[in-house]
Amino acid sequence: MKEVLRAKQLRKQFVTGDVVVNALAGVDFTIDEGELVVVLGPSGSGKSTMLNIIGGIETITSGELYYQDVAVHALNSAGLTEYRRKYVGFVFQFYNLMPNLNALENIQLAGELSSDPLDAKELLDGVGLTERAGNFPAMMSGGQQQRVAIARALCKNPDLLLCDEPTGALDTKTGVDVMRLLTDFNKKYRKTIIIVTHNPAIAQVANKVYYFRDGHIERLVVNEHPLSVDEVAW
Amino acid sequence: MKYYSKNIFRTVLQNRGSYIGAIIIISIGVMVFIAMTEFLNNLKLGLEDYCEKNEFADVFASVENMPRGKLDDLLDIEGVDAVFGRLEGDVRLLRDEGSRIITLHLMGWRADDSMNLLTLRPDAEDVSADELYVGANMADVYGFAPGDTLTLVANGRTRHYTYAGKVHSPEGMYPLASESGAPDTAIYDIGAMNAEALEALLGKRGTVTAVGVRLAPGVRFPQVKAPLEQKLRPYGLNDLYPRKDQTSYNALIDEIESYELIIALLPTIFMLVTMFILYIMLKKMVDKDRQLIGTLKAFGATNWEIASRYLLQGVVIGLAGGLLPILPAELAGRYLYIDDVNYYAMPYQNYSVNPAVWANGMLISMGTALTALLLGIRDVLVIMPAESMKSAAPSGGLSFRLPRWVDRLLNRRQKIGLRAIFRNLLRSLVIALSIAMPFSMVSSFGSFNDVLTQTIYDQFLKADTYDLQVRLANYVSEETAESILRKLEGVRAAETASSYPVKLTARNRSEDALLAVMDPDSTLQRIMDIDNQFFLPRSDGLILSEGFANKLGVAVGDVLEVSGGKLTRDEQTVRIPVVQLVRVGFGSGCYLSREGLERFFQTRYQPNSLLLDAEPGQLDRVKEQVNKLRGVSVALESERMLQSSAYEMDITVLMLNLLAGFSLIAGVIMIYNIINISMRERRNEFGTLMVLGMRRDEITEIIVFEQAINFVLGILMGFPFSEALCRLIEYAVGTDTLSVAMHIRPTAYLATFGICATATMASVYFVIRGVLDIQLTEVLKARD
Ligand SMILES: Nc1ncnc2c1ncn2[C@@H]1O[C@H](COP(=O)(O)OP(=O)(O)O)[C@@H](O)[C@H]1O
Ligand SMILES: [Mg+2]
Repeated sequence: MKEVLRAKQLRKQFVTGDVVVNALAGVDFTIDEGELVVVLGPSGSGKSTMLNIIGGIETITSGELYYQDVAVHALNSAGLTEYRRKYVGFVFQFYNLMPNLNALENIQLAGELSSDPLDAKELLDGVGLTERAGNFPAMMSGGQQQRVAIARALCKNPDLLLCDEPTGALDTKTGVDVMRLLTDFNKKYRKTIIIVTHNPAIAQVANKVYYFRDGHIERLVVNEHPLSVDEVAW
Repeated sequence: MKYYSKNIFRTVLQNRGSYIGAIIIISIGVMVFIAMTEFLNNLKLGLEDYCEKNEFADVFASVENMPRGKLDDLLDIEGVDAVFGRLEGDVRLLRDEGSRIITLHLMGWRADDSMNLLTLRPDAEDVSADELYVGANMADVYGFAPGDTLTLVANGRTRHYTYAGKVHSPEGMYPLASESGAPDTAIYDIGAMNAEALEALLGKRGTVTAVGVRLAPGVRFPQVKAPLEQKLRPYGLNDLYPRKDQTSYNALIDEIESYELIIALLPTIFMLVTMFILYIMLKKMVDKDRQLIGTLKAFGATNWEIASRYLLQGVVIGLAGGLLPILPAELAGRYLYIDDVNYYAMPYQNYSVNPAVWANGMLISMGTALTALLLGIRDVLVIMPAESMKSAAPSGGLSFRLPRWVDRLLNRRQKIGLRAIFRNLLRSLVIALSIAMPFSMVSSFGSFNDVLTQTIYDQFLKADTYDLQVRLANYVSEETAESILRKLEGVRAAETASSYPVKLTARNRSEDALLAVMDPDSTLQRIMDIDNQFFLPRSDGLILSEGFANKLGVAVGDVLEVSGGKLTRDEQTVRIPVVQLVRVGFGSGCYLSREGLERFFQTRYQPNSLLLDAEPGQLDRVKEQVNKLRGVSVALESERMLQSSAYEMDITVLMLNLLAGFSLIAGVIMIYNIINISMRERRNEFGTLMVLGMRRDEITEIIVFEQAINFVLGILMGFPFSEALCRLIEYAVGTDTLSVAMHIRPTAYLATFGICATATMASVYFVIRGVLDIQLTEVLKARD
């Protein structure tokens, strides 16, 4: 399978006053096209930092990161924007929907940034919110907002979908619905998805699981036979 | 709750620009208040003090000729405590250089003067027969030095005097050569010399022309008016009036009154602007904190506990706004005071500072800050604990569908911007308002000088087209006047004219006016309104300025009772209808044709002034001849009248220009703050767009498009505001003899537009920089 992401000795240091935090202390990994990758680890271990770096919203202190043949570590801010626009989709823990746009408009907005968008209405149907098209974020529950956020990320039809704790703020049932959406997208379009979570159950649906601790990859587990969402005991 | 305060404190620090802006604007308002109040209080006190020190009379009369010995007769009148008389007269002052026609209104000095004292500088125990004192302002204009020889011409005789110093008198604070117009101390001011010497110079031995009366305590002018008139009439009573109508005293009181309006108006405007900014700021802050507030309430915090933390900011802003302006305000107040003391040639300067005024300034500042804050944090009360989990839904938004042509015209970013406007109309309205307010204030206040100058110029270039107005000491027959005119050389056109001080009464209201008797065929003096339309004087009734009509509460068709020392006898009045109202820019404001005069007053037309239009290049020659004429009281050049009329308004002009400047400062601060506040709350929104891959230039386009629409909206709203402010200015500065038609020239609008556009663009530029500076990873942690 084609390799899409490769990191070599990736480091990220945060310096606040006298305090230096090595959020990433030399990380190597490769991710193939169409893989569903789960990143697990305790809070503060550097998972989000890595995801943000992959997504091009955090700078790299040292090391290399390649997306296909794009040297992400060498991009300036305009280059990073272009990179995000072309390849990356984000699902955030706190949804980050536009408060002034209704559900459908939020999804369409992302589509407008893509050269090859998916149909916004179909996606809204897909996440089961056809009825809520005209609702503003403030009028929806957390789970509904997260589903809109996922539809928004998908609408861009990104090659790389990054999700930081997508179910973190949701109840179990809603979380499962969200996971089903993500795995379906992964299967249907063969898109690469990286999910950061602290919920070990999610690891069972992944092709690869990276375990983080103190800015290192402690362990890599490859699932030859990932389960489907419905087979997992949540 | 200590940590909650800490949280608020950090927010305040983040918004420090807005707080500083609010403090600056509040300070400007309080400064204007303190400066103007101190200025006026000191001016009032100074005037009272001056009048008291110089034994200013309660009642004034001017007579043709009254033997000094007869003055005591007036003491017989009940209510009259003391009487004083003085010889006064206008004489020509000749200067070697130039042919300026200079008139001194000479007042006789006696060591035993008991009323309307003359203050001589340097002080003198006695004044010798050859000494001459000149009004302080004229002495300054010509730089007279003690020992200089000055030449006076009276009754065709020339005499030399030694300049001894300056003379000040409360009667001479506002020396008017003619009843309409403004002081021009380069050609007309008071002077003083030994009373006997003046009698000799004027050839009026043992007589007085000016009478002052001290009333017994509690007695008022109307009670003594009739008996005084009766006793004085045999001596040729010209005028009898109480202290409040004395020209100089009245001018100062008038000025004080017109500034009182400014005191009320200006700070109010600035306080409203401050309130607006603070209110918006606090509202946003509470909106942002609503989750926190909800959480605290869920934990059991009371409304007061939460609200009090915000109110502390109001106290700080109020304190700063009340304290900072004190020093600059006192300096400005002192400057205005000194300027006026000099203009009115008052001999005493005593500016005292009054902390009670500071306290009032503090009260205004505190009141403004706290009111704005209370309004802004009203929402604290209604936030429910459950809301801590959600951000506020967009409210007041319109759901809308773009018409198809707009849809096609706009690109995606522009549609996002447009949508943001419609979804949050209130926010757009606030931004538009913040642009409309300075736009209207700067364009209207800044135009005043222009309009005023234009009004005055129009009057002298189009309506009063003579070069020289020669005022005669007495009313003369038309034949006499014509014979004088025939003798003058170098005159292209000449006419006679007359005017009478009259009292206009309608029902219970009355006003003093100068009735201008006009010739319908005149080419040198015409009635013109502020739109430069001409009106012919009528013989069937009075043409009144709208200013007078409003003061008297009359309309066309109403009948006025007219009385005047020269025109009517005893208590008699003449009833004359008002036939037309005209918005006169500048001038007497009360007109009748010669025919009308003869008809209503049963008297012959008698001119008391000559209007001269010199042949090109001959004005100096004409002036030389006028200088030698007998029976002339003053001669006024229209050129100089124009300048002094404009100069008289200079404090008002300064005031309005300052106001325009302040509004500009306040406006720039406001525009920046409001745009900044409303964009800051959307930082996350724009950050999210950037995370999604939107480029900087695209986000810039969204913001610029949105702000451009707000700007256009603001400018459109600004026009009606400007118009309203123009009407307000007209109302505030209008007087009996001056009214301006405030209008704003397209160029002024354009300039203001440019300023507002620049301020908006600069604000948008800095705000965008701030927005784009956002740490993208921060966006992911934020909850709304
Ligand atoms: N902007 C930042 N400034 C300083 N330290 C940071 C910043 N972001 C993350 N960190 C630190 O980096 C480490 C890794 O954080 P993060 O990647 O968010 O952990 P995780 O997502 O695994 O919980 C933590 O110790 C965190 O405190
Ligand atoms: Mg994390």
